[in-house]
Amino acid sequence: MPLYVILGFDGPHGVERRPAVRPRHLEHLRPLDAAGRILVAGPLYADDGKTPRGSLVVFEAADLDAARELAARDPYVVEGVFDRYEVRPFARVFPEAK
Amino acid sequence: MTAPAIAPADEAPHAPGPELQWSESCSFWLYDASSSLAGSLRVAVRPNEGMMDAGLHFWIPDGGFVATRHVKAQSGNTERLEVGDARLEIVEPLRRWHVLHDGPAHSLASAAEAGDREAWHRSRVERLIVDLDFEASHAAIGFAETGAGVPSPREGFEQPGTWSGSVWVSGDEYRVHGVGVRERSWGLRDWQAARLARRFSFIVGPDLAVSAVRIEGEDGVELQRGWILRDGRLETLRAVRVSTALDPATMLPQSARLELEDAEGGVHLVKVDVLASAPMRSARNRRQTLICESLARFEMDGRSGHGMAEHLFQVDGRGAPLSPVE
Repeated sequence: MPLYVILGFDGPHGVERRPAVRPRHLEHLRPLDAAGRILVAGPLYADDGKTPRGSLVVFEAADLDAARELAARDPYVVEGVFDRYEVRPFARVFPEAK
Repeated sequence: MTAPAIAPADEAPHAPGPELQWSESCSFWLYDASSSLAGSLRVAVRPNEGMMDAGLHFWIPDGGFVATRHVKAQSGNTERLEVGDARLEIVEPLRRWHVLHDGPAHSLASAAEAGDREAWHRSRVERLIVDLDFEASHAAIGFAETGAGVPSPREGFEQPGTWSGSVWVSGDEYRVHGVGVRERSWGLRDWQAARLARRFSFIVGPDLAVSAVRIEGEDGVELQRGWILRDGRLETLRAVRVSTALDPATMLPQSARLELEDAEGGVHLVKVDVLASAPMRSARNRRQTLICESLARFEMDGRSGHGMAEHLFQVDGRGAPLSPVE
């Protein structure tokens, strides 16, 4: 199944909204994780390594439309944590298969 | 295929098509942050209907709404954009315009009263004087270069710019130093054929202006186009997704959320708070259409600006939308 990446960039209210929205964001992704279709996912931080600035999710989806649909329903999108996001086809190069 | 560039000749009248509802229109909106005065101004030539009309709407800082409409007979297209007491003058094509009005206008207590026929009857009639200059701050942005490749029955272009001059309402003068966007368009415009139409145009600052349009017919999306002008660089939109919340009491737009997908696939999220919505009704071919023209505040990239939001609904006899609001 092809890989896609969601890159989400927090808006000005991202820091304050994240804690409340995070449980719904995790619930949104949990079925995908349970199906073994998330390669890696987590927050992006500012230079201080502590302040969230966005999120990255690398995952499998049937096609680009399905990947976009998953992103559009993410509570971080719907509830105003992100003010911009991108969905891109992704290819894994490393780690190389042993 | 590269879209043809807009040329100064496009400021001249275009040859009418055969459709009854073919029109050529010049429209502007303005917002002055120092006074909170906002306005929309439009002149349309409808050669196949044998007429032209002009409409001027002002959202007054005290919450009032001042509006006037003029109609006159017109055969053929014309470069003389003068109707009743309103006149639009090209000072320099694709660069500078002069907008003039001196005549009566209806003064309503609020924009929402625009949808109430009785409110028009009991409104005060004021003298509205408009003497405004618009200067474009960017080259014309053609419709053809800002869509998802779907042919549109209407061609045209937009330009952000700045306003200066004055507006007087019954002796109260508003000195204007504002921003806005102009549009010139020509072709078929059949509002009754659209299941819904949404249009947003706003300016966040001298470095950021946005325009986005979504029109749906009975068979799905007909048109999505728009642009983000950031630091002088134009990003075109390939998709415009809109979700709207209506005020349950008035059924007028209260807020909206936009997802603007640029040509590179980036999705920009915009929050829209309607400040004052003016509902305008039109009826044709047994269909009733409600166009809500709203002054709105927009949030994007962590900043806020102002502009216009337009929501078009087809409605039943009681004014309720015929289709579910997205």
